[in-house]
Amino acid sequence: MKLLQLSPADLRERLRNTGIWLRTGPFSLHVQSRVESVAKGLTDLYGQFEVRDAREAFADFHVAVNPPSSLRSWLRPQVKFSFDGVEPFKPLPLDQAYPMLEWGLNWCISSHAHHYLIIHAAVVEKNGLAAILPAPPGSGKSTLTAGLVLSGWRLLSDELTLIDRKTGLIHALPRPVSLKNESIPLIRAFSPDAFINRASHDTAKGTVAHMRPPKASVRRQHEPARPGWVIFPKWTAGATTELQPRSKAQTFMFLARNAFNYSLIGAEGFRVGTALIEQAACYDFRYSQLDEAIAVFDRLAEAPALDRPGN
Amino acid sequence: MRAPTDLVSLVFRNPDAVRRFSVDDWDLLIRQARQAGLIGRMHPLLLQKGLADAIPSAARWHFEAASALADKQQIAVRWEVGQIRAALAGLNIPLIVLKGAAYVIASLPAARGRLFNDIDILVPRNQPAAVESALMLAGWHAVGLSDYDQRYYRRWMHELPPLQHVRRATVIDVHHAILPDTARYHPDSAKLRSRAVAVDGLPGIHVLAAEDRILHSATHLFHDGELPHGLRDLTDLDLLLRDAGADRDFWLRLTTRADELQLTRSLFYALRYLRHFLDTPVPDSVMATLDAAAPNRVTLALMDRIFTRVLAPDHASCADAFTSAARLAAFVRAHWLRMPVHLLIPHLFHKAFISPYQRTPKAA
Amino acid sequence: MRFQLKQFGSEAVVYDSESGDTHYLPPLALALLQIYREHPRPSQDDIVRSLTERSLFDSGLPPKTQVDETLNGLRRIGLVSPK
Repeated sequence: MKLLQLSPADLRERLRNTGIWLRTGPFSLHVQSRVESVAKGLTDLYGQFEVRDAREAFADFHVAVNPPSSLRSWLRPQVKFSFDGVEPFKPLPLDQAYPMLEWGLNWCISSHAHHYLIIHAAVVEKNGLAAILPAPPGSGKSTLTAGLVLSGWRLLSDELTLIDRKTGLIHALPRPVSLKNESIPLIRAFSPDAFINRASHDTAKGTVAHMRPPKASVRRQHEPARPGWVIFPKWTAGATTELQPRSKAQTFMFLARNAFNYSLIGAEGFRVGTALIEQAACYDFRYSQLDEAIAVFDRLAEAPALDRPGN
Repeated sequence: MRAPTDLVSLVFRNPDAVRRFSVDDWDLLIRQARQAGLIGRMHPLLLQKGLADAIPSAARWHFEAASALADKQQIAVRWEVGQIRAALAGLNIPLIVLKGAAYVIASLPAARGRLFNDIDILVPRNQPAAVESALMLAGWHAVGLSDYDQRYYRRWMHELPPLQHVRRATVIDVHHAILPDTARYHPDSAKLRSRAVAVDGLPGIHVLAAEDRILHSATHLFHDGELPHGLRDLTDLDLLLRDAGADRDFWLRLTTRADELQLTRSLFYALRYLRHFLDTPVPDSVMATLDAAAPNRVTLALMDRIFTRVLAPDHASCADAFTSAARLAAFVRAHWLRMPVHLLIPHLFHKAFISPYQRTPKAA
Repeated sequence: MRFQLKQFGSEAVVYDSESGDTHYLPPLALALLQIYREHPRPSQDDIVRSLTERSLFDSGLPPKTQVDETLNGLRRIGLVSPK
């Protein structure tokens, strides 16, 4: 059953009490929350994902987002994220309850799912090949990711690139795309039909909102993809849009340093990471106009053989 | 004592029980095992007993991920011990590795599927400054502790605070004795050293003899108040005992040694709760010998109520109304055992009101 | 085998399975390592000649110094045995 088949009132009720069971990509979640904005966020953004009765299934991660039971609560309302009774973060203002759920889920996955090599990068797919987009904050990665998935690219993930250690394939986790600051009005203008939820302000990352993942991306969430490219995007005002080939060895070193669990899985991290780099064409990418950027990516997806340099 | 209600110790006592588990049971088992730090140890046990096919496919990755972590940590511990050896080589002092790291370098079954926090080493007490500077030169520094906590270690416990490596973030605990000086019992460190065993392939590095390893582990279990890994430590002891117990003369050596080091009370508790949680095979004659070390009936009943709760996984599903009181009692008792009263009260006061006992939160 | 090496063009990355460290080898370091793997005790002159032929020296320090520094790095990592 899909989440949108539950009435918002029913969803809210379940969420407050026994919680709901939800499947997102390879992971099943048990979510409990008494917070209104969390119920609203799930209703608005997770409609296409599968739900089940919370009591009859195995869940990979049991999480809860609730106000802490301290006196401070009524002075300045707060909310805490809990993973099966453990609170990995300090409480945040109530206004940030929904993003806290998203960040908390990312933490759960990146801290435990060591059957994957997990890279801190967005990843999208077209014509059977995946483009991995690692980028430090401020590089325009979330704008580019949103723009691509609104233009025919499949969303695999906006934060966590999951590489299956056994197969080397990238597994999809098409959860809502997080947008920050200027990205929000930019994407609204780019695609008025895209659904973006209410923004939370003054977070550690500035103003944050989430965009509903495209239906087709969610429908195909159980389809892994082969790695095609590793592209480092950098938005610079007035820049000419261009792809520049990049050292594969140095790209590997960057990924090793920026993967969540590279050093935790020992030699496996090296094996899986180098196999990935071997298959993927590596580029730096400068752009200033979103539609030009998308056009470059589309051209890449149409002629993959020409753009994959030999060793 | 009532039978344990947690699923983790059930699976260790009787692995075949998993064949009757519902999907719900597996869900709870993994959550309890995760809190107890035992998923990685449970996995090889299930594989060994031919129960791999009983694991639901949805649950499988939890075991594989935990095993991958544990395997890597073994390699990391070996490397780290080598680095410590190199750092202290110039001092020419006997170096004894304790606890989990010892199981790894001595290739014991108790190393299997385990995660490691710190590396514990035992050095002679006459050169604390030399040891600390040698380690500092090689990158290990006393970090992350409040001034109060640093004083607690140096002045009251006569120990170096934990030392963390600047680059690798690994932590060493340097000990001069197996219990702090201020504790009520003083097992003779010289006796432990005299029986230490050399480690193949690591010249200059020793581990405690088999009986002493077991006594050390048992003593810490019943002297440490904060038992985040109580059940895990029990499974360590279980594996150590099963391995050593294969030798027929072992049990007599163990009880004799416990007597010699004045650690019979800890051994009594250890074996009692090992049988309770894990059905560890302990000869009845051994329990009879240790009866003399048992506390009076009232104290024993109280200890049972405390430790059956404190040693269970620290998960909501394993707690009852008395669990937090039990944890507090164990905490206070351990500090009572480790410090004289005139130091204990101010310390507990400080801990309760200035350094609250809670899981460490990080900024989001 | 302690070290696993993966070459990408003229560069390489290396994993040390004992320490868990991962290293990057720029072209000069990789070429020098390859020379040492093929010849147990190469002469300084042979090394400099071979690397010059492949245009691996940059315009900074004198070639012999570049070789020494790179070799020290390889020895420190453990890829080349100490003298």
